[in-house]
Amino acid sequence: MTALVQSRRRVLASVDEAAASAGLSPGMTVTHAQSLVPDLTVFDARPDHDETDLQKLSLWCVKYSPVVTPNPPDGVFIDVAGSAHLFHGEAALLEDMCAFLHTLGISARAAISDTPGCSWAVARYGDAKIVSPGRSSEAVASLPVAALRLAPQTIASLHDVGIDRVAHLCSKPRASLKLRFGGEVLLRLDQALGSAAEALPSLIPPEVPRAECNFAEPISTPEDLKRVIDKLCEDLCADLEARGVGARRLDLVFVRVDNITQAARIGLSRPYREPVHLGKLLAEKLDLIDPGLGIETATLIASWVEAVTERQTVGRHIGTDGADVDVSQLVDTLGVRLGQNKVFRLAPVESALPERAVRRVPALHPPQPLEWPSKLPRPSRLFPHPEKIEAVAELPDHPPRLFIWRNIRHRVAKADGPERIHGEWWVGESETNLIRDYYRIETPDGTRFWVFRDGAVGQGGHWWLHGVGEA
Amino acid sequence: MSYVELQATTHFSFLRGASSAEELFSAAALLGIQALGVVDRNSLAGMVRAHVAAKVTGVRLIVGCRLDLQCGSSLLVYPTDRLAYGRLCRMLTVGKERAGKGKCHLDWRDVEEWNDGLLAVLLPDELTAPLDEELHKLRRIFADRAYCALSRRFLPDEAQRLQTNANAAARAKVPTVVTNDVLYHCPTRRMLQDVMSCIRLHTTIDNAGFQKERHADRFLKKPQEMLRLFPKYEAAVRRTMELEARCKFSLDQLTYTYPTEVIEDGLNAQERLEKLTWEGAARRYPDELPDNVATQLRHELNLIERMDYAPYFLTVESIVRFARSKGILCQGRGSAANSAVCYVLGVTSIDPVRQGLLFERFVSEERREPPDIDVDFEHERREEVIQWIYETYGRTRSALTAVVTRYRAKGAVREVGKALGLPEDVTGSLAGMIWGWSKEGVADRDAKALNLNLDDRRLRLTLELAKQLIGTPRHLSQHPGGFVLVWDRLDELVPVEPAAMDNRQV
Repeated sequence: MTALVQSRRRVLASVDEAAASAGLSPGMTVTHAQSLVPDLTVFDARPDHDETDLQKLSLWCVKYSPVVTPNPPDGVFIDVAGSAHLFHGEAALLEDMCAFLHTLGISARAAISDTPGCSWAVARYGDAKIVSPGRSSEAVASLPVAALRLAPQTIASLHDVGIDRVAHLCSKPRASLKLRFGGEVLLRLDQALGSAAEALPSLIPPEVPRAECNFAEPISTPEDLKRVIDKLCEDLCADLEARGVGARRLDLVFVRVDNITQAARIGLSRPYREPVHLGKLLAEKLDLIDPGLGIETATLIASWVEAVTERQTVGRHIGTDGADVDVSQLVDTLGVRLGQNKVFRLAPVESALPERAVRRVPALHPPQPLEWPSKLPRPSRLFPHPEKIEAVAELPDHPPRLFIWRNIRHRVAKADGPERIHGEWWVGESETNLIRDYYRIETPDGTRFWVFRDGAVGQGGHWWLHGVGEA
Repeated sequence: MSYVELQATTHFSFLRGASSAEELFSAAALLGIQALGVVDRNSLAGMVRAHVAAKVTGVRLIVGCRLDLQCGSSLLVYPTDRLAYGRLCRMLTVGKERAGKGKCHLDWRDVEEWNDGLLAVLLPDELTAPLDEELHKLRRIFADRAYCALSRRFLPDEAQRLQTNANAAARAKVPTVVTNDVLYHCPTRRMLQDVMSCIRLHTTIDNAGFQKERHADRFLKKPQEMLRLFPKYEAAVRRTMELEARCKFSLDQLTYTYPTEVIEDGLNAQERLEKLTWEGAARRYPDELPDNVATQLRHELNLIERMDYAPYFLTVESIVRFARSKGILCQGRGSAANSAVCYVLGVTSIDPVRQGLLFERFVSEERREPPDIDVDFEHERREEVIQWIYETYGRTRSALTAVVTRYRAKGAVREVGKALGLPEDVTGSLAGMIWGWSKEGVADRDAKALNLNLDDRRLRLTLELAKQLIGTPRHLSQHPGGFVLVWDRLDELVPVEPAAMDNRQV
């Protein structure tokens, strides 16, 4: 069951079967539900996730028919008119689909009928699974008006005038219905009964930009492959430009003469359609390709594209005008060589604890207004995990005189501190009494260290090294 | 003895200080601190509480105030005597009048105007102007009554910062004095202080980030510990004693002076009260004054004369006379009904002699506390009476009394829950479990009844911290009808601030 924050109250957004049988329904407040059902499990509703998940589910449904349309928030339309025979009939198709969804942990209701509207209604409110051709009006007649995909306020006003069932609605004069409730009611009614057409847009994505090369003679030398890549890039970029988009991800697929596929993929930090740059990045991946006895076909696919708003310019070199240096090409090159997740930028977080005061953001993330407080100097290199050290210091809060780190003794020449940092008690119980005294210390040869003591020595407190370098 | 704490903030610095005066003073007594300087922000509202707490614990109260000036500088001031205290009150009154309800706008000019007899300690760590400039201003205004505070913050470059401040003070010939900038009495109060900051800043603990009090350890410490923390500034630690010795003022020196009624025909207050009493008696008993009533009246007048309460009776009588003359219904109530004098003056309408009521229940020599005559005025026309009082006694001598609005259990749970980021329906239903003035907050059993998971740490913290917050003052508001009238300037006795309602002051 999921809950959603709605005008400062938490209300149920959806309930599963078990919850529904316990008398819970969407729209109820969470506290009310919790008082009805002890040990209630509530998850936060994530409408954005729901949408992408529905999209994924729809894509999976493509196996039943090429015409599939997600119907947010919780439905999928599949046009099985021309494909049911592949599954030994409509009943078998439904069974196959529901069984598979069940293994995914999704409880699904499905119906097949002449029209999307009728299927929608019967799947949600009816008992039948398959409505025979031409029987749509009979199937929906006994269903509540809510089965017609109407807005909640329309349903409420229909209830107000005593219209509860679809049959009841059909018996009313159309003109007065339209006058009173607007065109929506009639349209939905007609769509369910099949007297108004409803087109299902296809989910299959518009043709993916791609460039292809077939070779009469198989190629295999790196130089040849590089040339092919450059050619493919040029073709693809021309296509991308015509579409007004740039590539965020490229898949390079080689088919060898022995029909084995070799593929490489690169990601880009922003949409690109600049052939030279893309060619360079792809060439970095060539050592992953084993041409074997030779390659017959090469395809370059822009599997993720985004609109390009500004005209592409060749990246400027750092320092040309100082103010706004475009580092995106450098970021891409590094990302391709080291891995996308290894190129990042650090951003401040408002936390007193040093290891919590920083987070990783994508390399081209716009800089934030927030800055680390300048009065709290931090070492140039902060360890993700402090390392335990042995230290000699005067009690109770003096800096160490000397310390041993990784088996090396360091004498302390200069020191500053303590900077007292308290645990963030609201994060966890263990931090309630956490106190760290941090010291900046310098050894006689000028090396700076950042060490801390977590409590009095002798009372479970230890010395730790948390960073090195100028602070 | 080497150190007294000069900078302790009580919870009358609303949503900043996290401990009550009682808690601070008992902690000070345990730690061996002999005097505590209470300095709330632009306010003296916590002084009476602090005074009582000081009496109970034997720790001396040093009356003080933290002035947050409009320019961004802050200084602590301590009156050395009654007159200086009066000037401090006047200054706060001026500032409050300028800023409107709940705020106070002061700047260096006001400080200069009212500086006489005040000791001043500049807080050098929160300045916006250059330290040297502010120190020179301070030195010019306060001469040998100027000091500069040195406080540990447990932040980087502490030694350097202290030295810079000390050097600047030495250049300006301003002696330094150590303060600990106390916000709460014991270390465990830090959580509540963080939550209070969140409430004040209208944010939650997860989003508050750097807006919370950054530097820690703002609880009371032993004098020996303070000496240890300032090894290079022992003189500044000991100088706190010098300040303590210079502040001779105590709230005991404030005595209430009743307003004098406009004197007619050369009679003093007592004579006039007697005259009015016998005239009134003649009206109440037109036929003949019964002997027992006459005896009772003589007894009461005697007592009133000895206790010197005559002006108070006259004041009440004249207010009631005004109300009656305008046809405003009014009625004395409460213990005043025990007084035959009140009866014959027309303040009350029950004959205590006939009812056999005891005057001693109203005024008694043993109790030595001023009598209390409650008079109810017709609700719709109360404002007329209030305005008449302002006119007759003048705004410098009269004001409505303020009442302190404190957190009740309900509000405490709601606000703490909000600061800890609980959803509003949860805090709402928790608050719904509480009736009125519960001192206990939400009991575990109540939360269980709501089917809430008590193992949830945030929820448990909410209940715990809300319990601590109950009784903490939130703001000042006006008493529905309480009036303070004095003989000389009221704003030398307490700070007076304008009220939200037109033409009223508190």
